[in-house]
Amino acid sequence: MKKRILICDDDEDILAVCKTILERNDFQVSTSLTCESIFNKMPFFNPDLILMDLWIPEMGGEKATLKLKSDKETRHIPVILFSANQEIEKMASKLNANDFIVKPFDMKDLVAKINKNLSSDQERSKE
Amino acid sequence: MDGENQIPPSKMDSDSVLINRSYINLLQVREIQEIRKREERYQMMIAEIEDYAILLLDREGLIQNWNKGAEKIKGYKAEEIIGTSFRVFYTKEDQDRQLPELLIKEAINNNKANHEGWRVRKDGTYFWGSVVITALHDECRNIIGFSKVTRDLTERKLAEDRLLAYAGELNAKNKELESAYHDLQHARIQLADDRTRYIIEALPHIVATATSDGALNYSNKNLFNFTGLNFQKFKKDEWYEIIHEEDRANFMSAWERSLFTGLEMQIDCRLRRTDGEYFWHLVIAKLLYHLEAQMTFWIVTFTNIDDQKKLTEKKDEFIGIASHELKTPLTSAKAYIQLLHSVLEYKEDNEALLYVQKANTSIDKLNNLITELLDISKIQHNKLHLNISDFNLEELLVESIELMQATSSKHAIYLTGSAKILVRADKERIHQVLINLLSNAIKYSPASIRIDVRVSVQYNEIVVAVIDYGVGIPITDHKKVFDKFYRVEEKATQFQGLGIGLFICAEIVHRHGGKIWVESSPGNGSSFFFKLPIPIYIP
Repeated sequence: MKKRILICDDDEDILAVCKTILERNDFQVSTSLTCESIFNKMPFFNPDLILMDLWIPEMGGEKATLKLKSDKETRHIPVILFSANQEIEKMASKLNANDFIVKPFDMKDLVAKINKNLSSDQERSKE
Repeated sequence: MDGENQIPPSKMDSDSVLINRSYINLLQVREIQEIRKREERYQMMIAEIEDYAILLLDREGLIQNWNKGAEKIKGYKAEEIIGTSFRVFYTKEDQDRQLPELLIKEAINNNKANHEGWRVRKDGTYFWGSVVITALHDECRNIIGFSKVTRDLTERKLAEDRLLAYAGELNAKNKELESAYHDLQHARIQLADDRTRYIIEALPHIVATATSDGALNYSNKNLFNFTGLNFQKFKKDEWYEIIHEEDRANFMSAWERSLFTGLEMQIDCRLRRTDGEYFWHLVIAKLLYHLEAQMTFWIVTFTNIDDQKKLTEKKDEFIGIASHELKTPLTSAKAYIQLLHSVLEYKEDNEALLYVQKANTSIDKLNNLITELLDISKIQHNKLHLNISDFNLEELLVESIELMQATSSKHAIYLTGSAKILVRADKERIHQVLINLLSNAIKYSPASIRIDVRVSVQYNEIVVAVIDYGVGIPITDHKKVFDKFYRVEEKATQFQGLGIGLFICAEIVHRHGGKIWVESSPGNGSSFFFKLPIPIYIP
């Protein structure tokens, strides 16, 4: 069964290209332009991993990540922050995100990081 | 009769006595005549002297004789004055205070009396007489009269008086000048004081002074106008509340440190205006020595830098947003390029693959430029933070070299030396330094094919050298290359870039407590070194 990736970004181009890349790498992808909408999607889509941009307006990736990580139901889902913000590494540890990737990213790095976090997530769930 | 035949000795004697007597008489007469002559000469001499009034007074002070000098000085003829008292020469006042009698008494007691004073001539005019009265005695030391010598010193007296008056005038003028000078000085100081105060009051800044232990003792009105607090509030140390809560602890510790060390304080903090709104201020406190009072005091200035702060914040925010916005389309462009790359790989179109790779390299360059702009903004506002971690330096070197090797098919990059150690530093930033130095080495050696990277580990230092064999840098520019926007001038059009790469490298190395420098000469290539004095953990 394909792993499900939820991508949250306010830029449609990025969403489109990421969707293409990940689908070519055999992932099932759902995209979201706002943070609010991901919480509506969660029960239906049930992602295995979330890619979260940090600079999304309204709720913001920062708050959304905090919410995901403080909720019992969702805290096990790996969250990878991805942003052009150079403070992203600090933010990742501050928000308890599982990993980060700097925009613009290398396609191979993106896939590698997703796979790495999915496998460690599996290991965790095995424990 | 015995007597007849005897020559009476007395007769004989009387003869000789007779002879003797007449001789003596003759002698006496001559002597007297001599004396008289001499006396006459004296009297004549005295009578003829014109510059001195020389006269004889009897015991009652009546005038006995009169000379030409007396006549000339006092105006009386001899016949008018002889027999009258010398009192007539004295002024009414002197007569009333018995001056003539006092002088006579003095002459009697001391044989002599000197006096200078105004005397009266016959015509009632005055002259300044210098008088010596000498007591004359007979053989038995009885006083028989007085000599009185008078000189007319009116001219001298007048000259003296004029001189004195002149001296007095001079003195008065001098005093006038002195007081005028004092007035002027005072006015000048007052003016300077007033002017200083006006200037201080006119300044848009808050200017205050405090004693050496920090107690406020003066401030211009801006302090009270801005804060709405009165002087008493400040005296009672209750003024700290006007500093924003978040800045207060910082401010207090800086101020206490300065009070303790006497060193200048310079700090940014928000101050509360009377309406409750906070404004950023730059606070500078300097300890000065007051020469006149021989004591130290603090001069404290508060400069409103709120607009500047806010503009800077806006600018930083703008650069942050701009770089983020620029990077967003760049991200999708890069992703599509990579997608394209994998499609072309599948189709084995090598020519198209080459073009796509070039496009990818260009996107990376564009991304680096945007990052540099963001970095420089951070450096300028002291916001370049390091994310310190332990990593293997050699791995980073190899990784960086591989990355740069991929961008140049012309140059071969060689690594010599070993750095198989863990270092504690910001990996991304050190990577950035290496990439920067390597891309410079490639950029500035278009005619050569070799670049060397040498690494050496010493006791607690790591030295990395990036060596190219290119255009080189004149020695005068060796320090300048690390300045912002430096370019090898005549090459500016030949080589692209913002000229901030080395500035950022230097900043990163300095933040690590390290050192960066260059050894180079034109035409002989450049060797860039950086040294990191970091604790090294041998695995």
